[in-house]
Amino acid sequence: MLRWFVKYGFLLSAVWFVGCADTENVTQDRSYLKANKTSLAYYAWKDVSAERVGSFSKKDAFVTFKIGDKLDMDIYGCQDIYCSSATSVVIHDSSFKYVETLRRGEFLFLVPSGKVYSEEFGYDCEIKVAAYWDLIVNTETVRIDWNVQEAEESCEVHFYK
Amino acid sequence: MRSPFLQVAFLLACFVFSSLTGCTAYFMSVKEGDFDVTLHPTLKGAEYAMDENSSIRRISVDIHRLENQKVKLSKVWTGKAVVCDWDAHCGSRTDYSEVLEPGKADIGYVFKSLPVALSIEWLEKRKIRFISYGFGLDPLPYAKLSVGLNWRYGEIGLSSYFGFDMSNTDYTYEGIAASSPFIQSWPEPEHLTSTYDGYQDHLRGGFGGYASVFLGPVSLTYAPSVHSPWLWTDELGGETAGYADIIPPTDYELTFEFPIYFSNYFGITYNIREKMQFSLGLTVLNGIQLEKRLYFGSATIAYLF
Repeated sequence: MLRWFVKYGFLLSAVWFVGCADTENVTQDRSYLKANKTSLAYYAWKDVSAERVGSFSKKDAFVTFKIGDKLDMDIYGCQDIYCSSATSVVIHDSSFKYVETLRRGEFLFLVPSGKVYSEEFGYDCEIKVAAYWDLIVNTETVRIDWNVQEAEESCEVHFYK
Repeated sequence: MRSPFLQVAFLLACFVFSSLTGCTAYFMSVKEGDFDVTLHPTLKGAEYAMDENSSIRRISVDIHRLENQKVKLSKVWTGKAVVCDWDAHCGSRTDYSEVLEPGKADIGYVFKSLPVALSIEWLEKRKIRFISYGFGLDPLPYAKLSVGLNWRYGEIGLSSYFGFDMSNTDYTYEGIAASSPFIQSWPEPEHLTSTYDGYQDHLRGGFGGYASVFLGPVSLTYAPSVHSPWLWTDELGGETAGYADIIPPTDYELTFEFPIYFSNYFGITYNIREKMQFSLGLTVLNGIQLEKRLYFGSATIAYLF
């Protein structure tokens, strides 16, 4: 009897004081920066971690993607999620001892085939894509095939506490 | 933690703890799994033109093929859940001991039709008003009620049922359990991933409508309905966790709701005077969250007395 009371008394007390099934709807965000199938001459990128520095919004500004802890990739003239207006791509290490500058014609930003990645982890999801491209470079010194998606997904979820 | 004093202290601690921090100390996020669902009883009316101001009883034997049909469920989302220990206070949304992140549950219903189901009903007609109520075993007991209008050439009405079910479950889950500082032996908050495979009891219910046309001794029936196979289920069994040394192995609070489904029954019934009914029926199941339609055939023999 006491065991029963201990078990269910806990719930009863909760109901009495605060009401059980304490749930509400909240908006939850998740960010993605996915970079797949990446290769570069001199370096082999595996399990690429990428972090964007800068904004896509300003014309002639550049955005930097930090690729792992060895390289940065600066993309100039990128104004939309497909980066189709990019004017140059500069790959360098932190000390700028290694620098590769690629001009128009030496790189190609393609729109990736397939659907935008989303996790749809709740109701009424909205996804805002900041970057979505497949960067192809195939020169004598640099070879890149970089499929990237940067996005923020916002979903309504039930919050239980 | 065996002395009565400590148990009472624990109860008081829970009392205060729950009033300040919320009421649930266990949460489960089901990742993937299957949940059995016993096919619901068919909801229909008298299926013949009853005499005015008459009543009769009906014993029915439903016969199905013994089979399991699995259907995956889509858009089943598990919510976010948190538990707190005393130190965390849970005063803000970031100050929790353990958190379950929201996600998608990859689960399915396994619809089971059992070979034989029994039911008994009391049918009454006052002028054209019709009511029937009864009980069934399928295999666990349920109760059903229908009200409607019964004419010479047909009938329409509404039906509902409510009953028990015992179903096999097999799922993988992520669970969290709270801790407390009140009792020294209280374990740390837990965050575990585990599986559960076993039978669990639950309630089920549904409601719908029916319409029949009487063509001499033959009745053609259509009965759409909606069903909740795991009605009000907010807990499921899981591995012992948290303060299991003082409370027996526990159920976890769920972070999703079991989807409902729809049923469409098409049947033909042959009446032999007011003594026997032979029915053949096709039940089509679908649902917004069911990824495909399922079909079940049935035969019913009923004796009226």
